[in-house]
Amino acid sequence: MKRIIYIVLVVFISTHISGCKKFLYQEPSNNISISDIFKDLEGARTTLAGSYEQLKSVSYYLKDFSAYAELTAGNIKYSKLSNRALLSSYDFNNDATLNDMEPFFRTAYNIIYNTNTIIANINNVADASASQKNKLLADAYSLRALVHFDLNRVFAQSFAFTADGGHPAVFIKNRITSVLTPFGTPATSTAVFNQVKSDLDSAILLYPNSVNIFTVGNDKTYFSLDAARALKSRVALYSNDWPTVITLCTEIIGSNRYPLLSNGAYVNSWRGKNISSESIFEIGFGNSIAGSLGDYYNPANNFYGQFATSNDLLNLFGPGDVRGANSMFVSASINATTFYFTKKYQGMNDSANNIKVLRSSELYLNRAEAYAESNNLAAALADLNVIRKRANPAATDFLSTEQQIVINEILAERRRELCFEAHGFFDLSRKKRDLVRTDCVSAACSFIYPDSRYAIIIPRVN
Amino acid sequence: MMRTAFFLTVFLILIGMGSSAQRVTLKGENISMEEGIAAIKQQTNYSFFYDVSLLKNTKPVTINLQNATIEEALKVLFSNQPIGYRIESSVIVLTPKKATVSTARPAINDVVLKGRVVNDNNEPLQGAVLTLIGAPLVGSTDSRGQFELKLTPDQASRGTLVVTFVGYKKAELRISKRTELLVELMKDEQMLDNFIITNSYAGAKRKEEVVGSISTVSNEELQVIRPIESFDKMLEGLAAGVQVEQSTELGTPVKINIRGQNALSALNRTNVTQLTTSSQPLFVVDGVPITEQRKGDESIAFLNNEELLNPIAGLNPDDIESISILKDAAAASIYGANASNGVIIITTKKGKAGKTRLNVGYSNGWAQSINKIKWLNGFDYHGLVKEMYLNDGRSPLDAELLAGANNINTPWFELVNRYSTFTNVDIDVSGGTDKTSFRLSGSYLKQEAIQKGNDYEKVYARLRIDHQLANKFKMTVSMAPTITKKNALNVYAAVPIIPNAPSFNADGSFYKFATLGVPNPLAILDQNTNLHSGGSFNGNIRLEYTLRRNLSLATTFGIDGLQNKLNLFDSPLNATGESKNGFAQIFDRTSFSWISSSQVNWSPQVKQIHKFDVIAGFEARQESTNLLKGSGTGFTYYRLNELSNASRQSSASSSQQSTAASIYGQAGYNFKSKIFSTLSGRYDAASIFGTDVNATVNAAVGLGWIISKEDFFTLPNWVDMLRLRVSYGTTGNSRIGSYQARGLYGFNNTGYNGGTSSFPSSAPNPDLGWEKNYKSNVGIDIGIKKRFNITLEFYQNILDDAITPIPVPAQNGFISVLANIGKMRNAGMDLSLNAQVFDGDFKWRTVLNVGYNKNKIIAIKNKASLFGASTEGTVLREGVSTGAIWGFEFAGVDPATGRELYIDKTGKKVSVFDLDRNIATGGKYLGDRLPKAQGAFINSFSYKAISLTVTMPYSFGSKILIDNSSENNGRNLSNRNQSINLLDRWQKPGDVTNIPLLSASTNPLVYTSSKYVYDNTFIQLSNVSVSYTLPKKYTTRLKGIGITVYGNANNIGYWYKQKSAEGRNGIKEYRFNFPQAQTFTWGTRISI
Repeated sequence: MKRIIYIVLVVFISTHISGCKKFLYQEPSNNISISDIFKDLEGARTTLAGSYEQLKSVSYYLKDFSAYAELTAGNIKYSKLSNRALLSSYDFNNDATLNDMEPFFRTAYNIIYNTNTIIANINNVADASASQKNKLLADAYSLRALVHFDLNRVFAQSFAFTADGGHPAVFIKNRITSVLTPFGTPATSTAVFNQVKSDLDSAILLYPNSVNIFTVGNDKTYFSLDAARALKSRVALYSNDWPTVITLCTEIIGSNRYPLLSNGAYVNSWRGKNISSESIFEIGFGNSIAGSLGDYYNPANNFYGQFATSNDLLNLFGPGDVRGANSMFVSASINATTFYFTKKYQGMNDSANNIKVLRSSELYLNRAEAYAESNNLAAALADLNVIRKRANPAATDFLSTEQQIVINEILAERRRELCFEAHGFFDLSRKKRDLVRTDCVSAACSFIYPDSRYAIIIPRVN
Repeated sequence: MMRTAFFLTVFLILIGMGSSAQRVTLKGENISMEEGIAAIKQQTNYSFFYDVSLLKNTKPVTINLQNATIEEALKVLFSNQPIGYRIESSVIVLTPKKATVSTARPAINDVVLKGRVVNDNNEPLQGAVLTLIGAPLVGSTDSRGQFELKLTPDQASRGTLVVTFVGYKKAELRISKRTELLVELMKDEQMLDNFIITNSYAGAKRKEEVVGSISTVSNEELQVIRPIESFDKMLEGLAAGVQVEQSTELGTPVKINIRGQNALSALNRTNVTQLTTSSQPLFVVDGVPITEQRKGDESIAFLNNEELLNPIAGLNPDDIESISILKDAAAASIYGANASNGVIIITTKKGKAGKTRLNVGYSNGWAQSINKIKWLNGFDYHGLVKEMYLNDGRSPLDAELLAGANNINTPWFELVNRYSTFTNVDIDVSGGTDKTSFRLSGSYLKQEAIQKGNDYEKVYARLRIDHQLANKFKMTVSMAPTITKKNALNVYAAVPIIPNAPSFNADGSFYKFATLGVPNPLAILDQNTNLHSGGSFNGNIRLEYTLRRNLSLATTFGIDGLQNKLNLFDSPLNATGESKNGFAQIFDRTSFSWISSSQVNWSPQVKQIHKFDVIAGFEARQESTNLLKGSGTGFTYYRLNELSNASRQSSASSSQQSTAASIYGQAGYNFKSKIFSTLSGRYDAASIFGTDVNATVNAAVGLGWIISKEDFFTLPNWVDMLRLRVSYGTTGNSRIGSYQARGLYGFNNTGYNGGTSSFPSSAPNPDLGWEKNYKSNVGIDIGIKKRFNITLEFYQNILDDAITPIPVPAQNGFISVLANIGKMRNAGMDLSLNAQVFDGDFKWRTVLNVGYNKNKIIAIKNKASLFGASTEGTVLREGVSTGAIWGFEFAGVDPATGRELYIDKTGKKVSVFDLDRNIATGGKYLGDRLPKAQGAFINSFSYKAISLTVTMPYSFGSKILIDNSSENNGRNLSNRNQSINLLDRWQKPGDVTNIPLLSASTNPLVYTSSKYVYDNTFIQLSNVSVSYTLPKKYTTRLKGIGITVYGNANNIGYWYKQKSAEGRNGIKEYRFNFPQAQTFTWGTRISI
């Protein structure tokens, strides 16, 4: 009897214990571990798509980053008095801890972490061909360059702020480091520009030997050889490297792959998810209820809609300009005041508009500026007038022989053409211009260059 | 090795002895009566019933008996002693021998006294002992509770009969020539208290044997008739050292701190979704742990909008027999890695053999709000908004226009609140035979919140069956399904809605706040849906097989499941769903866990001197949660709000699973019932940590010494009991959510261009390991004059390797990572005083519970401090409490400028503009959210059939930081109503006030200013219950039907140390965002 009991006990306990190892191992089902996801192309592709998806974060192109340069440059005024987005930025009140660009900073470096992880794990992707790996790498480099560059635009003084570029800029993260790495000091402006350029050069070398790996979305919603080169032309513009701007812009414009929109097609190109003919890279929106820039720019959204257009900007458009108040803006009366909202982002929910990041109009203006700065005024005016007359075919050519006047007009044209596309304040900063906001309610509507407020202090949340 | 050999020998001897069932072997020279009795008890199924004093005059005997019958053994043992005995079923009743002599006296003049002894339920008590004061006469009752005594005439006229029965209070009755007596014995609560459940593995133990720190709360003490929907909220103040944080919402989880908060506070920082370790105790219902509802592991689609129900609310408070709260390591470490925050063991009622009994209860009541925040009326509001705009440089015309109407005052609070009702019906049937007993209960509860659109309905049922399958085989089954329905339309925002806007348009439609973007709360009530409907199921089966008299095997299998469906609909007709043309969401949450444990119980004893009881077992547990979500927008017709009517639909699912396997054991040793010790431990392995650190061992040792039983201590007469206890050990906390140690990619299936996207969601931290909580406890128990009981305990809990998400520089790709970083101490004292001040027709029992605790963070490794969001003033910092409020010291408003003044870190008074408003560099300690001392003062009185209970919880020394958005510097004025305190704003130079000049744009906002910190020291009159029980004489006439009627007033009022200014808001109003309900109920209980 006793023996039987002991046997039963021993068997009972041992069966319990032997099943233990397996019992105690649980794989997560909502997430996949880093080591696991790069085992195949399918997994690696989702990580890359994730980087693009994060460009759409509210803290990045879906609001904070997009609107920052516009609010600060004086293109936007608020149409409401409460729940105003990015008010500290508008008032230039950001500091290290209370900083409404902190979410952007955080998202941006999370994307960079992701791109670094892709680059580091590229050889683990067992079932990808060399050209598929090249696409993964090239996109990762391009995105890493774009994000570093955008960070630098917000958080650092411009390239020429100091003569040697030795002023502090943002952190360079070009490899995976432990998450516990201390805060440290940021890199110099020169180092950041070099890093961005080197990443773009890597991408430009890889693209010719790559194949598309994505199955959804228009090609223009992903980086490409031309997108990397267009971005490089912008980087060159920000580092006053005029010959590079001219070369790259000429190559892309000359290819005729991105013909300028006609005057008649201009307004409609900003509706829905139309891929515009002149777009080189757009951030793609699937059907989604997740949010859109339209939430902030559309007066019909009476909770978030608030980014109205300042008179400073509206007054810049001449009569007959297709980009002016009557054609490119919708008006709405709020509390008995009429406000104008740009049509660039009126779509909400399912009809959310793609966000245009690189398009050939910018390249014309980049090249115009580079020509003007190189004192080739005729070429500069030619490019400028292409954009001017596309907007208003009835306009006469702008002519001047004064280099400064030409440059000023190009900057004004940039403001007219590229408003609400994350250029405004950055153009002032890199051109060392004073800030003048007239249609503005703030303690800091205007200030003289140089000023510490041209760069936001790097957020540091403890 | 020696010890093992010893135990093994003892084990074998005892098995050998056990086999001789009802035969007795007694050998030895000069055996004391105690030893003799003990030996018989050990070898047979008989138990003894006697007064210890009986054995005083006995003499040792020398016996040599082999395999004797029980009768033979007793005859030999008591042959020459002044003790008589009687065998009644399996009880041997010892009586003074002279009694037999008295009956031998001539019977000529004797009077026969007949009678019956019953309990308060009119059930006969068999074996009650009857004695006569001053006479050697003794008798006892038979199976029908009846007795017959022969008395001398003198005794019959002047004698006093004393009736005693274990577990009941002694009754003394003057005979006064009566010849028939009905004796009713009342339950002795103190005696019954003597048994407490120590944990779900070991079962009940005598109180004096318990070494660990355990507070118990009985069903009666819980006062389940209160209109409170779950028992966790009822626990407030009922046990020393157990703090219950009140909430004004129905059916949501309540936070309970046992001996302070034993996990680091979660610092809510923007977008940080990582969990910290849970600070909730482990709840175990009849051996089955209740799965805590937490968020954090699910995919991001579930992060927002889903609200959780309180899982513990699935238990009907009325089904609770007793609650044991395990506070120290000796008590709790058998729960190992889940015991860090203490363990709450709930034992449910079971049926009793005998007549089938039926209880029916009904109660009903109503509630109103108390201490509500006073808001500005429409006229004052208009004036202040206008003033704010003027201060901000607007023209008078603009300001007037922007301020809105000046002739409307909409009382939003009154519009969305009501007198709410409460109804509860419960019924239970119980009974059974010696072999099978059962209890079946059912209950229906409907409770409305005072806020419209919020109510709570619950249907409970519970069935418990105890069955003796065979002589040695026992089975217990219990099943408890619960159905819950809850409406929770959140219109809290209604309260601060601007009062100078109308609620309806002239055409009767709901007014819309076009520019504010906030919904009209009346429209929400009318058009939106927020409905929880679900159920929970808790059940277990326990089998127990007795191998030998002192060796048994038990196995328990239990399940705990919760299913809840949350339907949300934001109507396209109001601002909540307007932009999406209707927004419907359905969340379906199913969590299920099972637990299986098998154990051996072994309780040998060596003579009557060394008693052991040993448990060893194995347990496996699995928890899984499955989530399903569907959402849709674009409703073609607003009244059809099923997802199929949405033009766009999306769905998501998520599942988590965690497993744990444990080996546990406990060994108790009892020396002469004077010194007790326990050694307990548990090995836990769980799936949630990194693979190399997934197992942990926790163990504890405890020692108790009943000094009053030692002869060498002469204690004053008035001390009945004096006991010392010490314990030390470790516990752990494994509840940090699953898979937190791995670097993970999270997924979005409708990601870029509608395809699948993934992104780094959590940073890898392979070193993440278990938290350890080192608990020590010293306690003293004193019993005085059988009326006063004092338990005083001092404790210290050191939490090491505490887990918290630590911020990391964002440029590293993440903003936080979970790490074992902190070391924290809770030290304090629990005092519980229990006094039966009067006992008689008028009874007064008073209980005072005090829990004093001091929390201090001893170290934050590698970090100076960790701060939460700038709005909440939380900090983890060496040297302060984990509940510390960190912020800026307010110094009033500058009478000259109307701007706020602060005392900066150097002690200088500065203007708010010059203050370093970075909380990390400029902030300082403002107070502690955790109370210094808290508990309750409970008094119950009864006079004959009427009883009254008054419960007064109190709390000292805690501070709260109120939400400043109702009372700041004018910046919220334009979009919401504000506290009436704003009327005191600064208006002109010379004004002395604490409210600055009103300005939306020029006043810097200091979120964590000390002006928003209030002292939450209070005494609450939380509950007064009056009940009247129909006296027995009527009950008898009603054939045993008992009736109790009662009335109950809950949450009658507060006394706060910090007073609110006349007509203004203070702690009293600000303490809860939404006011508390004051409830009045009345009810009836009928038992048949």
